[in-house]
Amino acid sequence: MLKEYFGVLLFAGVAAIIPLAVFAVSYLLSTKKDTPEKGLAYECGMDTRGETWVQFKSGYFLYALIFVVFDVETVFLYPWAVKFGQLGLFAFVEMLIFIAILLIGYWYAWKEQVFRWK
Amino acid sequence: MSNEAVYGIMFYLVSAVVLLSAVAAVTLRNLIHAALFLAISFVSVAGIYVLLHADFLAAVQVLIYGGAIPVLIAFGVMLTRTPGAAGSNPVNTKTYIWGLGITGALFAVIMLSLLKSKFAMQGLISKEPSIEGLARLMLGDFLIPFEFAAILLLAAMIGAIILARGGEAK
Amino acid sequence: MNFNLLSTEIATALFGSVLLILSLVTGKDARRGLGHATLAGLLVLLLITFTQYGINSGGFSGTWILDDYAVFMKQVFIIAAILVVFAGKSYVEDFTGNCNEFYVLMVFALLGMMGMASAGDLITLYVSLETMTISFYILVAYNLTSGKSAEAGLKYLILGALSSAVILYGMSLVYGAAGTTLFAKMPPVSVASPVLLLGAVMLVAGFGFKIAAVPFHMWSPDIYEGAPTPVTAFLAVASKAAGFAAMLRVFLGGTPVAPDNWLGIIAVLAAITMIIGNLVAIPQTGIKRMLAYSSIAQAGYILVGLMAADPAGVNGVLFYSMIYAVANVGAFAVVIAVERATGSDEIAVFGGLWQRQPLLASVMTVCLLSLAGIPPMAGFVGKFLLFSAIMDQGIYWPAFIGFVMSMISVYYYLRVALVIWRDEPKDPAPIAVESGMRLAVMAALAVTVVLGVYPAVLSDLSLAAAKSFFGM
Repeated sequence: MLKEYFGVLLFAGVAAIIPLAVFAVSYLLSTKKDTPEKGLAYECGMDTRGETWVQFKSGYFLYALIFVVFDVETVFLYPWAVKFGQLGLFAFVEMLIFIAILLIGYWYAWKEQVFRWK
Repeated sequence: MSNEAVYGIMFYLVSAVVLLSAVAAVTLRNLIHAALFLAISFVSVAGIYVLLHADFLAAVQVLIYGGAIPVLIAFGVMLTRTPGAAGSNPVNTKTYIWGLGITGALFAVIMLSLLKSKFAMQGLISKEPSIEGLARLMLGDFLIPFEFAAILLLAAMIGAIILARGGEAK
Repeated sequence: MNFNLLSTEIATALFGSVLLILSLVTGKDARRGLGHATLAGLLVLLLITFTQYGINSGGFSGTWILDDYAVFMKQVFIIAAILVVFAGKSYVEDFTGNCNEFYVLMVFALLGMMGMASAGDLITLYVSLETMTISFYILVAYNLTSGKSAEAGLKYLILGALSSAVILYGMSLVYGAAGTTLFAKMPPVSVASPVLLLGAVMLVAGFGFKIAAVPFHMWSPDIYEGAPTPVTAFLAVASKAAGFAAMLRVFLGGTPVAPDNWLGIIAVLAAITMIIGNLVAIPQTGIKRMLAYSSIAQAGYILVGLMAADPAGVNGVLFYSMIYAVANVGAFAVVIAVERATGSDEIAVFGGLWQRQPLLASVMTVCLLSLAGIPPMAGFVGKFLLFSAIMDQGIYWPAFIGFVMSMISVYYYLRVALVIWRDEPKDPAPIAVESGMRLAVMAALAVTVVLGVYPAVLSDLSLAAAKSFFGM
């Protein structure tokens, strides 16, 4: 079975080589003269003013948090979905209860305006 | 090369990545870099799971620890009010010796007892993909912890919202 | 599958969810109503547990055990929760705008404790434990305007996660060596391997943290001090009792390691916990820190019952858990009332309490005397049961240490009583006691005195529960 994962390994290896190769090529081909002009933000950027490290609002964090909770739920759903045919009605009810409990949490998050961007 | 040799080489390679990136996560002074190395360490642990034939666990590891947790950590770091990324992960160098000593002693004890024991299910390899047995156990024998897990997630979600909200109000 | 075995837990989970839904539907204005709803629900849960006595069977492939022992422990948790809600309702409603969720999290923590008392295997035990602990992480940090509460929450989270990791690693080692997670199927003593021993030691360390036994107690004074006082009361009483409930299940129900092997560890833990807990309690000037160290010492006494590892010892653990829960919540209730009136938790603010509020003064004195184990109070009977269990086995030194340390503890408990009865109050204004608080402290007073005089009321029940634990 492990041999099937050889492809994954190969993929990971190639994926690691490509960015390294790009860096290497640009390092070899580029001219190495540094001017103040080059340090500026290019085209789509703006010059920064004040601290570049600002405190983000907690909205981001709350989004990530809800995401983690439902990501974990996916983990529980996955085996159930794979064996759905053999597991029968009882497992279906179990999963319904599981999802219902988490839906209460979703409702709570909704009511607490976690999803509203202020 | 024999299968065992390839297996051994892979195991030590993956383990080296896990350990080195974990060390980097602890010692790097920039918290963002530390978080990225932590993610690498988590994902490489999935490699170890694959070598142990725990394919579903490996997928979960990538899904949760490769995806969700680093995002959460990154947002958590962004919430903090620090003057900059450099030096945001201070390391206490005074207690290195103690830490090394205690960790080394614990490691020695664990290794000694592992080497001297027999395990109940040594050498057993399941024929079916691990997810099938897992589904049967989770929704069959272990249905109580399964439903408890839902309550646990609910409690964690409510609490995290309240605590994060409280920080917002101030 | 026999769902009757789960009826208390299903009711608790439903109750928690309904409470959350109610708070969503009614909005933030209906605070007081939900406090009453919580109390009503908890009382119903207590009634349900009474129907569960005498079932004594396991189910769900061995992952769930419902014996009288589990039912008794669940009643300890529920009674602690009821007293805490009675005593802390106004306190909670004062300090937070999210008091509905506070009750919901308390109910979920309660559910986790129930799971710990009934768990028949390591996985159920761990998930229940985490349900309880995660709810507590949040409750400890609940006072969002207080830096102390946030600090306590963070400390509890980091140290609690560490101890959970130790427990989990211990469990994985035990599983690896035993090949099963079911306590009932753990291998007999003769095949105990080093890994099994190592796993068991890690479990002792992890549970030692949860029950705040020395040397795993460092977290408790800081966290008890920083947490909102009702949470401190619930944490000190119910989570500790739940830790013991689970510890007994793992070590006496499953015997992954022979009593001979781990008796030494438990004995050393019990001895240093009694000694250090009591000695460090003496110089404390804050009442919450003093009660924190006192509850560390109490864990030491209960460990002696675990050390006996027979029905008499388990009987002592059960009886003492109930007595300790009531007396400790009674003491914390008085702390809540005084803290609300004076805004401080220094022992000095109790000066002349009897002039300001005689009821609170008497309750505090009786509860502290019970914790010290002075004869007419229930605490004495509890200690007697614990120590006689180990003495019946011909081991006298734990009882000796316990006796000497109890004498020392009288000093710091009575110091508080002295401040209450001797000192002149700085502010002679009487302290108001509202009805819920009055009920809580009166109940604590009544139980502590009545069970001290007629212990048989409870000890018959706890002895039957202890026997059911060993399948007798």
